[in-house]
Amino acid sequence: MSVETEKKVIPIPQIGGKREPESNRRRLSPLWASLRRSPVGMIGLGIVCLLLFLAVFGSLIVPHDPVDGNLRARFMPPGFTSEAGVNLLGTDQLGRDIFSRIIVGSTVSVMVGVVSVLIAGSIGVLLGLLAGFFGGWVDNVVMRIADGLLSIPFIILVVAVSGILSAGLGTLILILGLTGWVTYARVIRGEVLKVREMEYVIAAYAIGQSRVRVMLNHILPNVISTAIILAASQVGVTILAESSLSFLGLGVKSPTVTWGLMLADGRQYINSAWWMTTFPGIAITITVLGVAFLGDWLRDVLDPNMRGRG
Amino acid sequence: MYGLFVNRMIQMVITLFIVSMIVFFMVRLKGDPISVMAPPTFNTEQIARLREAWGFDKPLLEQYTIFITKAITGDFGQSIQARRPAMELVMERLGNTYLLASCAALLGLVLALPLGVMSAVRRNSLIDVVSSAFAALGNAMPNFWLGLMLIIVFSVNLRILPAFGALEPAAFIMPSITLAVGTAARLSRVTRSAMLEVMNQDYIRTAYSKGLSNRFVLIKHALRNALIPIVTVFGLQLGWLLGGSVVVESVFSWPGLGRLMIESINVRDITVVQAGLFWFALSFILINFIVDALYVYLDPRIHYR
Amino acid sequence: MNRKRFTTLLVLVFAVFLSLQPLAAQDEVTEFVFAHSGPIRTMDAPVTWFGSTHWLTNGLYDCLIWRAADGNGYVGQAAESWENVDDVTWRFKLREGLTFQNGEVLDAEAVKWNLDRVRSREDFLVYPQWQFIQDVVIVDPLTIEIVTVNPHPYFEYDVSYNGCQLLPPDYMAEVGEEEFARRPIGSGPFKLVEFTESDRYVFEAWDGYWAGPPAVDRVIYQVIPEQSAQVAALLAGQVDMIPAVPRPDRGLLEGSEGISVVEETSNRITSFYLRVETETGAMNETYPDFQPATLNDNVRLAISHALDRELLADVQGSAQPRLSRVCSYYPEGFAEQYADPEAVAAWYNPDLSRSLLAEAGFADGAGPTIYLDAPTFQFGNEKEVAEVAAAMLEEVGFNVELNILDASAYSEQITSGGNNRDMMLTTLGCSPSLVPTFYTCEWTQANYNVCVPEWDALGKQILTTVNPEARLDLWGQWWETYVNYAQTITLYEINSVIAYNSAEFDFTPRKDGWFTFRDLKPRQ
Repeated sequence: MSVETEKKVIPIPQIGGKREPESNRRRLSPLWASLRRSPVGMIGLGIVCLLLFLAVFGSLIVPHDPVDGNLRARFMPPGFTSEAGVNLLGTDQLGRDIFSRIIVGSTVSVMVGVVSVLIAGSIGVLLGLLAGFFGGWVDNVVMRIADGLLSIPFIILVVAVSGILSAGLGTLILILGLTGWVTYARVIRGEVLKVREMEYVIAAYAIGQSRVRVMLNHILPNVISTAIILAASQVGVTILAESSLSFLGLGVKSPTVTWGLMLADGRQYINSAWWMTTFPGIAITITVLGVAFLGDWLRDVLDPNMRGRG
Repeated sequence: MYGLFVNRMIQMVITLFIVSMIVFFMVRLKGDPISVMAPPTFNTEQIARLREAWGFDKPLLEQYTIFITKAITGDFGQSIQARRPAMELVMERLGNTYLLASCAALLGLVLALPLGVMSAVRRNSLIDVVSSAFAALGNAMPNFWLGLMLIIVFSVNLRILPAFGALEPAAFIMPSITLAVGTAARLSRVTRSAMLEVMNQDYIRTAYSKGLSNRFVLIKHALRNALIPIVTVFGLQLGWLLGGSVVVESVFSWPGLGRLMIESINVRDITVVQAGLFWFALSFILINFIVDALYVYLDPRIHYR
Repeated sequence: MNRKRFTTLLVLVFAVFLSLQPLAAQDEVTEFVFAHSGPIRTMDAPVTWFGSTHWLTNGLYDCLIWRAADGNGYVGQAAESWENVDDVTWRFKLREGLTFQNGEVLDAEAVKWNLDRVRSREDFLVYPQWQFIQDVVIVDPLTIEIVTVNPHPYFEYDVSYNGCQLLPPDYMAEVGEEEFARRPIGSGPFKLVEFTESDRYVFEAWDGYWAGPPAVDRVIYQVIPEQSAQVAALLAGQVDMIPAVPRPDRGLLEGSEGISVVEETSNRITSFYLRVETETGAMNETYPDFQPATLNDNVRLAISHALDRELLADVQGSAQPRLSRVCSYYPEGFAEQYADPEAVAAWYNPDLSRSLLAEAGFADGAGPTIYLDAPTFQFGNEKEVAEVAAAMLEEVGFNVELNILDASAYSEQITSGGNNRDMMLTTLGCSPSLVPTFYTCEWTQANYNVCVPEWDALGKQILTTVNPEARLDLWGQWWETYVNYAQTITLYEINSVIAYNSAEFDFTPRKDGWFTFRDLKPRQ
């Protein structure tokens, strides 16, 4: 994505290799240097930092109460001023300040993005590793289940699962995690297949290391950067999935504030109150953009081979 | 070649079987349709009688055996709500969903190929930057939100496009665009990088040096050779378009399979959900199969594997 | 890519679009399109219970008798006249020469077949509602008698209830139920000429209808799930009527030329159900040892007095605040007493609420924790109403835990599952016929069972008292217990806000909220 970074040769830090504590600083500074050379990466970092800040401290700095509205000021357009102050981005159907709700809504996006990607990533890496390493029936079972899950549209799959458990933020995170592992499993399996034929892996066997040791010490470290790149790209996908589900009424439930839910609320009123749908959507777009920018930069740094692709 | 085909067929059947299991138990675990069907004023006794009359009191495994033996013969059972065969309802809607997905796919292709090729040829030019921005935005926007924004502009304010349904050609425009943007974004990126890679190869340079016209070289040689990754991603995107149609159909009140699925899940009309998911899965698997077949056509080397 | 080819491709795509469109019909038929929020279930009418499906079946089928549009009494459809022969027998005289739309004769035998079908088929949702019938006796081809199990004061209401639709028995026997659901035939003023399930239903006027064909030639029910899309479609002239106008759009529509907005009662009442026992439903297993605060009489009454119904009705959009759960146009609703704005306003009394809480042992601000379940959207902004109601309860000292679920999960887990702990929000029909039954000791739903012996006796007495005046007296006493026992706390009666193409159509909404278009007329 970044036009700048493609032309430059960037020192590639080795992540997940042998641990040598004293080299921490040495490893971080080239990272920082490369970031400074990538404006897109910087923008991404900026957006992500702002998002994290809002997610943690947002509820302390909001201008209005995001949950209790002023029923006398319903459907007020952006810039509406009352004795309670300015509603910068207007108010919703219960007279709640949309700006404040967008700020508070960032918490859910961050939590969903981070936690469900962690869950999906862990499951996917583990299964991919097992499938690729052991092959045979393990591989067959994992990959057939993956095919099965992949051939049902993601949204429908989640819709069908979501009803089993009672709705809520925790459930949603779990669902997104439990259904999202397929991508990781497939990619990691492919990587493992490549790596396990490498000379140093064969050498490790030759010196008598056990299969589990080879897997953990020699194969895992070599595929983990791929997993990180993938995870970075999946954060955005997950945030979008959360908003779609909440929009369809299948995700997080009120009174929790989320952008997807705000869109669902506003959808009924788009003929008269465009601000209710416009601003939460912009918030989602900017967030996903930021995460994607940061992810692109990370990919350029971690994996020069993948640079410039997709 | 023949062996490959048979092998793929067997895999397809296994995958479909697994899908049927996942779907069946997922949908049953959700609870039984009776509790959603019955009016809120029914008492416990009345509900219990209904449950028995509809056969939802049988053990799950027994229900599954009945389901799978019938499904093999193409009988997916009766819709609980409509009292007609579930497959019939799915078929009524299938056309609309395929039509929408095809329009979006075509639109995505028409947008992405020129954009990708041009930004590869004129690297770092204005068009490359614009197409980068388009791709980034296209990936980051929730598509249902884009749909709502289009409705606000074109239906509510300008009043030139219908906000719902599939009754007239104009009704195709907004849903297709909404659905196509994400695909176009991804595809244009792939096209660009595939073109860049091919253009650096020796034979393209040779072709240039032989004095062939610029455009001819590009189309004939470079694009032809860049097609493999493009086809792969396009194939994946087709499946994604089918899935994405669920949300877009809901935004535009599109009478397609996706909306039928959501409605059926909401009223727990499980036979329809099973039949619909079966079609989604079958379509997806067939698309993958066709993509694989195209590989063989595009890249003769695959024969020898 | 070659630009010329590119253009050719675009032209081709466009050509495909155009060829898909059926040629627009330019004839003189008057066509009326109604935006239905969906879903629409089967056209095999007695199978289903959903009111919004019966808006369609109502045009297709005649019943024996049917509720009058103004909510006042009943009108004959297949029956020309009917009378109460004794306490348990009703005699219907059918119109002469009636046929179904396929020419099949509609006589006493056909009527009996239909009534026996709905009261014997256990898989029909309407089955329980027809158990009041003991026997159906054919007197002659045009006369039929219905014998009820007990004296039945609400006989006319129940006999015109869902499932009353008359289907052609011979045709049904010939084609079977599955094919019937594909090509249904009735004896009503409209024939169903084509439909896509839960999407678009095209009805055409039937020349052979006994009262003459309806004034509008073609009525189309078009499913548009999104309210906002409905509004846009009305503004664009794609539909002629929408059943629910979102609040902020009202001004927009009222200001549009050729569009009128009317408001009418919708036959729906929104209430809270409170837990008065811990036996019913899954609550016991899901939340072992949970003791609902609402078991306490004073806590329940405190909740009732803490709710500003006027404000809640306003949040709903358009509704009339009230205290009893029978609609205003039924005398049993006691509108002058329980829907009177001043009386309702006086009932809202936060101070009384606080002192009731203190009496229940909860001193200032340290009220009990109340779990409040609500659906996102059932019939009108339930989620918003629950949120505002929660704020009102917290105002007097309650601590409210809100649980909001989408409509189907709500009925699965709360209504039919019985996982409600303290309070649940629900919107129900409002006819008086069944109401007392719901509060008798034998009536156990998953989400509640009320058993107050004197009240139970009073309810049973209402249901067997045929004399209208005596019955109303009993109702008066019955409501006393209802509002003070506060197991069900009624908030308001929902109004439909309807917008329609008044340039072309002359429309008067029905009191019961049904969108049937038998009486619709084109404007000259």
